[in-house]
Amino acid sequence: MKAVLTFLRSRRYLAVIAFSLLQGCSLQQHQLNDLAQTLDNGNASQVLAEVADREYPERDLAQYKLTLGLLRAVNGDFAGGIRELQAAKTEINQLQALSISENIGAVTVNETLRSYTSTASERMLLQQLLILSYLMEDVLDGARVEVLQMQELAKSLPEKGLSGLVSSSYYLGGLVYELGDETDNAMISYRQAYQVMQTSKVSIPRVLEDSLLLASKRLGLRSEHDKYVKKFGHDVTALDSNKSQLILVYWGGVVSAKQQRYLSVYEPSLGYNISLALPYYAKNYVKPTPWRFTVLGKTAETEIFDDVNLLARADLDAESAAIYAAALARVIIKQTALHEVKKKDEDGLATLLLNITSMISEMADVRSWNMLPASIQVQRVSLDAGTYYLQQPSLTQGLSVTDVAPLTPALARATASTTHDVTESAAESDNTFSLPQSNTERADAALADEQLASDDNSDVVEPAIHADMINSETINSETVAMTNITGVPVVVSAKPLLLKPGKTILLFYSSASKKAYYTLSP
Amino acid sequence: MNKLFKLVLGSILVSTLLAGCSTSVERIDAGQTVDLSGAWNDTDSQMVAQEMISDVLARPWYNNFTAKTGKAPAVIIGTVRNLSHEHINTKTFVNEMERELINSGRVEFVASSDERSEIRDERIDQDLNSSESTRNAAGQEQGADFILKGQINTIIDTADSDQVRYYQVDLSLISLADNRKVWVGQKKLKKLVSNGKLRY
Repeated sequence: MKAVLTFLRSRRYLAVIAFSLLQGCSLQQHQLNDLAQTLDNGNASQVLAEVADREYPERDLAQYKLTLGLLRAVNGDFAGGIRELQAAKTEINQLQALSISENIGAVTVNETLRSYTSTASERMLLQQLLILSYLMEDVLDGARVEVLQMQELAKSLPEKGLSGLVSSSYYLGGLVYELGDETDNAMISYRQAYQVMQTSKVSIPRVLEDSLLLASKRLGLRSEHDKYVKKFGHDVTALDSNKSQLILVYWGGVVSAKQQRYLSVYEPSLGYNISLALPYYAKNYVKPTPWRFTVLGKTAETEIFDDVNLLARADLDAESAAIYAAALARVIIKQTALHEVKKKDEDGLATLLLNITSMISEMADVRSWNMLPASIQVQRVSLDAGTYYLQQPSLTQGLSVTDVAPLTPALARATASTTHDVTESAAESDNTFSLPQSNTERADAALADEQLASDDNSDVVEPAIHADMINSETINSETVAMTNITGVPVVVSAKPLLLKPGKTILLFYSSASKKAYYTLSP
Repeated sequence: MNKLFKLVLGSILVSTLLAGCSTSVERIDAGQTVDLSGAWNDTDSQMVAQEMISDVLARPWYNNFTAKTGKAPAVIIGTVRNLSHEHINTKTFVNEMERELINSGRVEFVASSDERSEIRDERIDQDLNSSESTRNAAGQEQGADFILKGQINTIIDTADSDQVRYYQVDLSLISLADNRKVWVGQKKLKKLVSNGKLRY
């Protein structure tokens, strides 16, 4: 009883409460990681509702805004996503200065007392999501600003390792320039994507090869073009101005969450525990596989640009030296404190309490932008001008990476055009995204009418096609939700997509929401 | 006494901390320069617009045109593209230029394409609903003689926490009659932004 009273009078219980609160924050983080993993089921709207209602410590503001921005974007609220992501970027930029108090906290209590500042790859992916969001909002100049900022950011990436080497961000940068008719700048971005992939020692996607070949040809860079032809073993013909292009950006799966490795050893000679907690990623994870989609009854596949799990691990590797140094300093400081208390502690209670608080307070920083996709994949398909429907045959079966059938050897090198060796009708496939074949003659006639009737800027929202001209077999209730140029989600069945010659349609599909969104080139 | 001292000291400390957390608002003059982040701001927008417009009105194209036609030129502002590293609201910049041009009293100003479509809708509405005496007929719009177009570019140079931001605003005035560029203006801004290396 006397010991309890002494304990209460000493106000040591305040320390216990404080450390319990810290433990609560850690639990909250683990819950968020668990929530992120449920995105694999395509329930991004539910996760968004849950995350929006959550409370978060001020030091996790950047992580919270990143998460909220991503969820808003994949749910089709690109304007809302941009707002949150820009707020995250501002916060991250403000946190670049070294914090004295947070460093003291990190070496005396634990790493979670630092403000969340994101990793190099996360910052590059933040730029990518902003680029995509601005494109979906039909703001090409806004996307261009983000590309320039990404290129600036790239200059500050770690010189060694794979941290921050996000090839798809560079590729999308090239695409933005291409949409703005800046082939010279596009060429630079495609070169950067190529260099990143060479550094990462991954096979170069055919999509990137073709973009390099086309851009170098268009710019008249003959020696460089010849070098690529020799290297890639093929050449490309210039794009047919009468054709349209579909560019699909696929965000598949969910990146794995950081975990904690906790070690606490009781040292009898000292009379207390030595505790240490470090973050780690599980060594094994599901490797990304190409995602199948159907275009006009033929199967095509996306090509893998980035394995985000690999990037997340590279980021942790890049930060590991600082994490280990702080952990070592923390062990020394905590043990010194315990040693000093033990020398003056007659009844051993203070030592016991400090030992417990030291053990409880030791926790790894498992924060990350844990709702990022596991892989980023791209494909470009050349299409005849005409009318199309974007259709998702089965929402219940889902379109996540895990549902994709394994690659067959014949499909291992998907090309920019659709493969003819695998034919699969849209109606029969249950886990593909498809563009069912339209009545070409009718579409062409409608296109000619449309071109006569309207100017170039009015083609997207209200194509001059009457409902009776549309093949009713292509319409079903399980169509993909998309956005039109005003950013309001539109159900595809009500809006056939009219592709004029030379137009590019950019399609963004996220398995987290199982929804696709598109925008047309200006 | 000791307790009282601690109480006072504690109160001061708490008050200071709370004051640091609270929001404060101070009204300042709209023309006052306040640089917070180093990014393009209202001062840059106003300064560039004023200087560019005073330059464009002082050049020979103006006298050449008035001497030839005997009337003030009608100008329209086209697109000012933001090709910089920042999300610059070019609309405020365009509005600033518009204001400077109109207030100079030396040029006539034609509504932009966005504004024109709204006005045309209104005219159609008038055609249906307004009395004959107050109705404005279609086909009486004034065509512009010149269009002002431009772009904002930046070059960023960063080393550690220091950054040099170079802005270049290029504007050109193009004759709508024959596509001649009658004036090309350029305004450069350079800023050195030093970010703190430490924070609390």
